[in-house]
Amino acid sequence: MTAEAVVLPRRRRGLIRRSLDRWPVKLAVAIIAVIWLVPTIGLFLTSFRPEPDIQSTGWWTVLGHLWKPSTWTFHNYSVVLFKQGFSNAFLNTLAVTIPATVIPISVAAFAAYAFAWMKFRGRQVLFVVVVGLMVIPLQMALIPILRLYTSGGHLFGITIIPNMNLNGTFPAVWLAHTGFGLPLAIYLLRNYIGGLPSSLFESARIDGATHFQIFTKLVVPLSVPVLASFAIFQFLWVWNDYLIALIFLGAEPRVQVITQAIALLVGDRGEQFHLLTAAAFVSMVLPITVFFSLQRFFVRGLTAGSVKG
Amino acid sequence: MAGVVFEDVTKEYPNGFKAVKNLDLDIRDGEFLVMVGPSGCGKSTTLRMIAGLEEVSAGKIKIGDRVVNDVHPKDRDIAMVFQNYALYPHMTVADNIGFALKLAKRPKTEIRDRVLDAAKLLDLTEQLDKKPAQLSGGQRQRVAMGRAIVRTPQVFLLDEPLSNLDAKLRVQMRAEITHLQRKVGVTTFYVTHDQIEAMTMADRVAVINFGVLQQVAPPQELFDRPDNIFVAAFIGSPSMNLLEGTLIDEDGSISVRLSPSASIGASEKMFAGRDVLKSYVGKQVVVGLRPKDLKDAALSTQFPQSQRFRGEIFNVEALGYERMVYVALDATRVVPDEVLVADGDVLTSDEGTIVTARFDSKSSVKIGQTAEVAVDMDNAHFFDPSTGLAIRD
Repeated sequence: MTAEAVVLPRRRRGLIRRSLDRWPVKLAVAIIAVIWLVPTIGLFLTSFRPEPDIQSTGWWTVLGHLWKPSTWTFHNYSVVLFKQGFSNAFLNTLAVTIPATVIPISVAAFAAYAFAWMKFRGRQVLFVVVVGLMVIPLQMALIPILRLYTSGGHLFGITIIPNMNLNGTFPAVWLAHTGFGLPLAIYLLRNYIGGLPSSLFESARIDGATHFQIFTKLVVPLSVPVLASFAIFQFLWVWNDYLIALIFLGAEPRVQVITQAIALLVGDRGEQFHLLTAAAFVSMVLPITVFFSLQRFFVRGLTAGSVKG
Repeated sequence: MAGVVFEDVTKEYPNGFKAVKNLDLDIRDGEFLVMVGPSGCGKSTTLRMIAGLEEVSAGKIKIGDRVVNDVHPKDRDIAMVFQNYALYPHMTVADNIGFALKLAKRPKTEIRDRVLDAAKLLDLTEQLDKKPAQLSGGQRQRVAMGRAIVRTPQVFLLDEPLSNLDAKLRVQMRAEITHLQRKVGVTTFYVTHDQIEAMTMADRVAVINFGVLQQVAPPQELFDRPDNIFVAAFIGSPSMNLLEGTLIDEDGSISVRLSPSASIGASEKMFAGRDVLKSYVGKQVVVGLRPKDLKDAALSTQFPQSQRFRGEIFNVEALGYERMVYVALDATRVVPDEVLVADGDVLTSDEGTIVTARFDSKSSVKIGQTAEVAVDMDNAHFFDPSTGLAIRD
C-alpha cells in the first residue's frame, strides 16, 4: 500500500516527461502525414461535388460551406458504379490479380528454399543471375514477350515454344506478371528463409523429413510474414497495373481491367474529371482493405528481407 | 542399441582447415561419453559427423556394426538435441515430440501413446498443448529431450544442450539428463565446453583440442592421472597450477627448484609409479600442483619444512565450505598452448606468479599477509616440457 503510494507519482512523472520528449517527433510525423494526405483528401472531396462546381472552383472552397446540402452529391458514384462494364472490369481485375499474385509467390517460395537450403552446383551463380534480372526494365521485355505470345519461339528454324495464341487471354497477363515479379520475390523470400536457424532444418532431416516435407511443414508456416508482405506488394502492383494489361489483354470491354475502364471513362481530353475521382476511389477500396488487413505483416516482412534474423 | 566407433576419422573443410584429425574413439554400447574441449576444438564437428550433418573426409564411422559414412541422417537411427533446442516454433509440444513418428507414418494412436509416455517421463504432460514460446528454458530443454527419446534411437547426440540455461537450472538439468540416460540406457555422446558438466555426467570423458583427441578416461582418472599438460590444465576447477621447475639432487635429497629463491622438497611417494622421474634429475620439468594440494601450513602441520613455502596472500575468496586463496610464489607459470580455461587466467604480481590454493574454511589467512603454504608433493604431477606428456612409467 505505502509502496504503491510512493511509486505511483514517480512513475506518472516519468510518463509525462517521456511524452514531452516525443512531442517534436509526433509533430513532425503529423505534419508529414497531413502534407502527404492533402491531394488524396482533395480528390476525395472532389468526388462528392457536382460537376459544375468542380469545373469552376477548387475543392478547398467546400470548407467554407461544409453543411450546405447543394455542396455534395452522390451522382458521380452512381454514374461510375452503374455504368456499363464497370462491375465487369472489377471482376476482370480480380481474375487477373489473384492468380498473378498466387503463382509468383508459390514459385518463388520453392525457389527461395532451394537457393537457401539445398546444395547444388551453380547455386550461387544462378541466384545472382535471378536477382540480376531485376535490373531489366519491364518496357524492354514487352515486345519480345508479345511476339512469343503471338507467334511462338523459333531458333534457327526450330520451334522451341509453340504458338499458343495467348495474346488477349488472362494467362498471358498472369505469366507476364509472374515473370516480372519473380526476381524480387525470390530475393525477398530467400533472405528470409535463409535466415531461419539452420538447426531447425538439421533437426528435421534427422527426424526423417524430405526436402518437400521440410518445405511444407516448416518453411511455409514459418515464412507467413514474408509471404504476406510480398503478397501485398504483388497484389497492389498488379491491381494498379495499366501497361501490362493493356498490352497483353487489350482494351476489349470483355476483358478490360479496372484501370482501363477508368482511363476510358475520362476521355482523351480529361473532360470527365468528376467521374475519374469517384472511379479512383471505387478502385481503391479493395487494395486498401487488403493492405490494412495484412499491414502488420507488411512492416515486419519488409525489414525481414534486409536484416537477418 | 549400439556403440559408436571412430576409425582414423579426419574432417577437412574445403578451405583446408582440419577440424578433426585421425580420431580413434570407441563409444561403448549404453555408455554416456562426454567430449569436452575449448571452443573450436572440433568436438561439435565430431558429433555432427555421427549425425550425418557433416561428411567424413577420411576414415570410418560405425554405429553398431554398420559403417554409416554414406548413410542419410534419418537412416542412422540417431536422435540429436541441439544447443538452441531447434524446436519447431509453430507446433505444439505434442506435435514437436511426435514429429519424427508422424513423418515415419506411424499410426495415430501409437504416436499419441508414445508422446504421452515421453511426456510423463519428462514431466511435460501439462505442457503438451502449449507452443514452445510459452515454455520456460528448462521445459524447452525437456521437450528437446522428449523429441529424442520418443524415437527410441540407438544413439543420443547432445550438442551443448545446457549452455542456454542459467546456472541453477543447468545444475538441475545436469542431474535430470544423467538420470534419464541411466534409465533409458541409450548410448549417449554429449558435447560440451564445460569441464564440470563433463566430470559430473560422464561414464568416460574424451578431451579434445585442435581436433586431436588428448585422453579418454573416466572422470576421476582424468583428474588424477592426466596424460598431458593440456588435460591437466583443462580438467579441474580451479585449474592446476603449472610451474617451471628443475629436479635437483643435493646430497641425496631431491627437490624441485622453481626459482633461485624457491624450491620444494620431494616426498617419498612422489616417485611411486614413476621411477622414470628419477632420470629427470638435473633436467627441466613442468610441475603441476592442484589447488587442493596446497594447504594452510598452520592447519596441516604434518608436512616437513622442506615442503613449504612462504608467500604474500594476494586475494582470499571465502566460499563458506573452503577458502580459495591466491598466493604469490617466485616461480614461472607454464601456460600450455591456447588453454582457454576461464578461471585459469594468468595472474601475476610483483612478488611472482600467483598460484591458487584451496584452504580449509578454518584457515585465518588475510589479504596482504605473508602466509606459509604446505605442498602435498605426493599428489604432484610432472610433465616433460619438450613433449608436454606426463612423466610416468
